[in-house]
Amino acid sequence: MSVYIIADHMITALGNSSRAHFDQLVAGNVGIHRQPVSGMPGLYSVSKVDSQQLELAARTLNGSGHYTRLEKLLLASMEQAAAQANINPADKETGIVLSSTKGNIELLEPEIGKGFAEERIHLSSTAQVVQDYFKNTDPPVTVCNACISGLMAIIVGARLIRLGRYKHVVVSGADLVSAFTISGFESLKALSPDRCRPFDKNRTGINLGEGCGTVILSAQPRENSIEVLGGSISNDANHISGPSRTGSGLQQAVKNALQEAGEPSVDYISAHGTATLYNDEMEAKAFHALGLSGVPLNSFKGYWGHTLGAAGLLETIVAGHSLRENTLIASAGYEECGVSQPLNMIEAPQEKPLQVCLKTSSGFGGCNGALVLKKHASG
Amino acid sequence: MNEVVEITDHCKVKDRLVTVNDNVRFRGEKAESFGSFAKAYYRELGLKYPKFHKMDNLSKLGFLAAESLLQEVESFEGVDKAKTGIFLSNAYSCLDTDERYYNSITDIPSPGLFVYTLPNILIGEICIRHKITGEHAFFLSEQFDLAFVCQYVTDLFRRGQLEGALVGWVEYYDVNCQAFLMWLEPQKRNESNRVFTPENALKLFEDIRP
Repeated sequence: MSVYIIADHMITALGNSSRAHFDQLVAGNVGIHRQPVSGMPGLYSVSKVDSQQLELAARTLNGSGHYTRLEKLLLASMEQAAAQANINPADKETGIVLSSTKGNIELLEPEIGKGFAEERIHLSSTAQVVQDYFKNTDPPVTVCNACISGLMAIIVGARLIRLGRYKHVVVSGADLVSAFTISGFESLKALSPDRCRPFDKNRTGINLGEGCGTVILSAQPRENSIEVLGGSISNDANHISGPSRTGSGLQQAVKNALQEAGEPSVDYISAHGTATLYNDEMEAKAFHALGLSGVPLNSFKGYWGHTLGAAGLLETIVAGHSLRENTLIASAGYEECGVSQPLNMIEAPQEKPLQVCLKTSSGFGGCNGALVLKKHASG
Repeated sequence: MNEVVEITDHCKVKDRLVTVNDNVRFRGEKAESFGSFAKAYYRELGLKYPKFHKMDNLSKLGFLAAESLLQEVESFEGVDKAKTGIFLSNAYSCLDTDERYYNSITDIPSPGLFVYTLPNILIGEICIRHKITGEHAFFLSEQFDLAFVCQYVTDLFRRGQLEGALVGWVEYYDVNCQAFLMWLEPQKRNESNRVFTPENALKLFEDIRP
């Protein structure tokens, strides 16, 4: 059985719809700026959703619930995506899959946490808030698997449809920029003081970002749908916080995903590209070993940073729009090759006939995910 | 449709007691701290694995349960590690370590703690120890969602993506400290109570349920 992305929605510093994001990316606009982060001294190069924008996005939420920032992002994005697809999330044949790495972790900060019950910090509680809001019969499936969570959530959702468990699955992922994650990545010396530069010679680390991405998966295609051809997850079995030296884990995930997809020719790769020295090098080695180093490739991290549990979703959504628009987006921050196996980096927006995209993610715990997308031929 | 996968072995850790297939493997002191229990059991297992001492408590708990279980699984050595999966769940993620880490940030944030503020690090630790590279996932749910997990994992076996899998519940937060792991393989024996169904798994899980 085939699975299709029939609608999508995203919120980051760059806007409150997928269309708005795509236009911003074609124009080369970036959401990362040096700014304060609550609970931390000094300024950080991060991408944050403006509070007024978030209130505006959340203004249409029903009822008088008292929601955290993370919950507002999820509910607003899911509601807009469901409306776009004209599906009812409360329907018995609609499932929900959520992804996040840290959820409401900022509630640990006394200033932010006051007014919310203690248990609200648990992601299982976030899932309950979502289930209650949409009056879904089944509890959401919640994925918490480091930086591949968003990609994994799409794969899980697609498998649930393939199994016949649901007709539609709403897949949504979100994470926030907080003192918790900023201080943590700073302690690992992984933060770039300036805008990040994935795969570039002068890259110095990541920027953190926040946002939410939602896709509606369906067993039935619509006009302009994106087909999910294959997906796979693997583990490096090498190191908990450092990527494998050879990229063998990522290769395994890509091979399995392409095999499931029927070995299509790949027109475009949306890579993970965090802009740390080791991650980008690992990916370059993996794509080289797979014979994919000539395929046009970008990372979206230079636009809204690393959004952790939302990253795989946001990047899949934009990659899907690239296929539909036959337009490759430039890899922000890239100037000069900084990996041992050169890649075909996309340096400027480019119109090109596109059919198939490979989307990959990798993360702490040695996890890798690969997803193969294809533009559905309408009519 | 579930009759393709069977539970060959299972391990439980609760109240400082470790059992494999309901046989007592190790009994600690009920009143002792988790740390001293884990260290004593690590010694009892005869492990020489320095990485263990760096792990957070969630990882130590799951790691020791996996160690105990996989020692018992005769076929484990012969299973393709690229087709071995790990699917774990809990309700509280790694909040115990999250809180420890958060308390460190006003002083000097601890990178050693921060890397454990993701629950799937436990999966990574088990993968490194046993060279497992296959499909995996960490799911969060208030209760162990066996209806979902069973359907999801069985599907991967049916599609030939798995030859073996570790599936279970590992929780370390506040008074909740329990691990329940099952080893799954394609069905060989024709024993209906071993088939990987939500009902059969729940029966095994029941007496350690929080």
